[in-house]
Amino acid sequence: MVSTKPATCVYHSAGLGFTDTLNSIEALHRLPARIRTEFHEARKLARRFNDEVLRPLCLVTDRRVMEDNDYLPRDFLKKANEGGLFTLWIPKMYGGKGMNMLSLYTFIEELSSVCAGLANLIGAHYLGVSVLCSSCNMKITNRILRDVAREEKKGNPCLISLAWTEPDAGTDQFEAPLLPIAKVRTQAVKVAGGYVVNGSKVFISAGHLSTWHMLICYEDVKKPADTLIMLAVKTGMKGFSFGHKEQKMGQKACVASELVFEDCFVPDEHVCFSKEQVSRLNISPKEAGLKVIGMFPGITQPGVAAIGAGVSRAACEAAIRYAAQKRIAGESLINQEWVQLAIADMYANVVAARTVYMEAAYAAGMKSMIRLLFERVLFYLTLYTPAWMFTLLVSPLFNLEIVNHIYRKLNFEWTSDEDERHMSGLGSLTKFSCTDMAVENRAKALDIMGADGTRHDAGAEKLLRDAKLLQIYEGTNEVNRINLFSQHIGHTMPGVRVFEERSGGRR
Amino acid sequence: MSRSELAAHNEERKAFNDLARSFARKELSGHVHEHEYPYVRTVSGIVETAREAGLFGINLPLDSGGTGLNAPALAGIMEEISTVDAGMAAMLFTHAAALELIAVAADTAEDRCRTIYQLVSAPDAIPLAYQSYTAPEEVEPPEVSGESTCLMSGKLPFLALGGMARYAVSAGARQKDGEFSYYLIDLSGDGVTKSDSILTMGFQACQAVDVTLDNVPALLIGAEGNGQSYFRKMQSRMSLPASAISLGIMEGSFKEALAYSGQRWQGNRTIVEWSAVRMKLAEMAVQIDVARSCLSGISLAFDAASTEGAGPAVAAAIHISDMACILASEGVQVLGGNGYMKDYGQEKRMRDARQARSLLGMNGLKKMNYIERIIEEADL
Repeated sequence: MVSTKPATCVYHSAGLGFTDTLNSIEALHRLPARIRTEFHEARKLARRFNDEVLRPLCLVTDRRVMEDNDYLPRDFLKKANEGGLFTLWIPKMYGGKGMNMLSLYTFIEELSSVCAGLANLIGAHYLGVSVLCSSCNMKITNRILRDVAREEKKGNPCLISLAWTEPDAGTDQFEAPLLPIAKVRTQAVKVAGGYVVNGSKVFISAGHLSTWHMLICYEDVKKPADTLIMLAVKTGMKGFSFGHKEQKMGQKACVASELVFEDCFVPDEHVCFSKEQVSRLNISPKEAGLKVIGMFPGITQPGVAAIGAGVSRAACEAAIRYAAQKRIAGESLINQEWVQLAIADMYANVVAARTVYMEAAYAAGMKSMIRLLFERVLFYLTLYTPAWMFTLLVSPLFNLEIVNHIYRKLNFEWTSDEDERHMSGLGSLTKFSCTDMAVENRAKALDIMGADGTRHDAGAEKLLRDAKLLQIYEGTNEVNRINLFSQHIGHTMPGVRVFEERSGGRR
Repeated sequence: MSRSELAAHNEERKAFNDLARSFARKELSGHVHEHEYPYVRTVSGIVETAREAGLFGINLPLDSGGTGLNAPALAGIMEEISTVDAGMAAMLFTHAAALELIAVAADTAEDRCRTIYQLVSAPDAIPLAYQSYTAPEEVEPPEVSGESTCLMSGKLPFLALGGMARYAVSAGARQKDGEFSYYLIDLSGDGVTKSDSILTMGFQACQAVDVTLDNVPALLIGAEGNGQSYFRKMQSRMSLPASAISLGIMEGSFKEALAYSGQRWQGNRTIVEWSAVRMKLAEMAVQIDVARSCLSGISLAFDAASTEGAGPAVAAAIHISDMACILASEGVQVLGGNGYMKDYGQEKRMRDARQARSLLGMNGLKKMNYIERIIEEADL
């Protein structure tokens, strides 16, 4: 029987619709043509790095961490540093080599097709870089990123981590509606000349290996949404120490660290974002804080998706290799149709994952906080301007308050809500769909490989262990689904609420 | 089986279930990761404790010093132990599968198997090694030569418990691509070369090795050339315990997910108050109850000595092991980042569930064999 009760929620296709997800069409004429070349260069570089560094280290490192959880792959970092990988995607204006940031996704996919754990050591660094950039504090961003470049030249890998997750607060810190009620503990108290921090952070990717830590904490832990603050903590600062290293199922090469803050004094010049810095804007400090934590996932989640695409590819390639050489009851496995169907599904997943994360990459180039770098004039000006000119002429401008003020206005005030929603939803969509496909591909590969696929020396089982983490970090896939619903669907429907369920679904 | 026999049988089975539960709680709980790579505690210690408790003799005939129970009894024990440590259950399973092959052969060639039983019932023969992760079609059997004394040569890959066992039950064939038979070989004798333990995704306590044989004496089990038939019968019987391992993993995963979701706060409420989490838990609970019902029905058929349980047992093993992989992954997901860490049991269950899927051969192959039998019966 059809209900005659009027619907309380109506879906309007006005605003964001499915057509807005086809960013590539728009990107064709908006993004600089040169990025195509850089995509190819990034892929070529990654393949060479895979052959020379990743392949020999992949299984060895995984097994070594199983045997000794304190082992850290410093040899890998040294080689990555020698290859300039920690500054390659840092903008030239901040002392980096300035390869376009979208090509990083391609690079990460290639690396992840060999080892997601080692790839994530590089991915985690650029997560830190992105979070630092999202503070819109050009002065400190310039200082820290130039420190990364300086240390690289000295042969010291200088990584940046994001320190955000807490023992009792993961998901609820990442979502704006949940942040006000998050059970956070890490507090920064204002004192003369800086802040004193107490608390701890957990599951911090590459924490033990990083020099800088982008610490997101709160001036009042009872009002986290109103008092969010981002501090740059450097390894070695008094009151800061490393806690335990998590014993993870996979991605073992990328240490997940506990960071401990005990009366850790962080000077004012290390404050990346605080409510005082945005007091002259036409939005509240709370809104600005939420924008800081809302901006970067749109560009970092496609990176996780790229890892997913790489793992999907590795799974597909492993299954093909195995099926081609395996004979069952005298028949070649690859000549069995059920195997061919499974491989076709896996192949389709790889192509779909690539397409999805590239769509997000195009959107990032047009609508995210890095969009200015892809404006044609600025892009080519940056490309052909020598690095020394940035150091000499541009870098000092970042110290000017007026420059920072305008940059904050640009990102916090002059970015359309629609673009923000689009990027946020697309980041979530990209992340959960590509990582789910990675897990699906790994499962299919193991179906084809049977018990042989479960052997560590065959290299296949590691990928399933690695892939599972992709569904968890940078927001669980379930939370990302809700965010997509919220940003792209629910917001057009009056009466729809997200994260406010009180009944637990009981009727 | 009469009603009184069945009642006695059930009493005995319940006693063994209690024993397995107690063993799991006392000997395994809290030590699970110690039996995993890189092996903080030696696995041989827990094997000895299980042997003393009689857990390796469940399907060994009474006159050989065992308990002489059937597949449902084994299944009950596997389920109880797998809720805590499926790796231990895999050791018991491997040994029991090898014994079951001997039992199948003894059904038609009892005299020939008497010597075999004498050898494998000795205390130092526990556990038996067997390629429990593969079906014979997946691996080329070693070559057998000689008439009065059979000699086996070739590769015996992925031999579960091969590192610690004295004897292995192994397939062997006189001709390449010919009919194969099963043999008992002494792994402590000359001509046996073992690799280091293979690091596997799951069941790490049940360590496997790659073995190379060079003219190793082999005792024929049952009739020559009957290997395929023996394997199929053994597979039908042991599919129930295999399913029970997957079920135990599912139960353990659900129990931990439920407990965690009642304690973990997110968004100012315990996560069990989130309908998305409830839905996950509901799906897990439904799968577990379906699997339990399925195994219960098959157990009844086995108890009634009906052959009707054989086909469904294989189907159940395929389906439940698939479900366990999905459920164990969701079990990790409910715990989020914590589920991925060794501090909790979920990540191990996820690995074990995947390993359990390969017991007695890859599922794809099992499915093809299953439908082949149905097509033959349908005379298509």
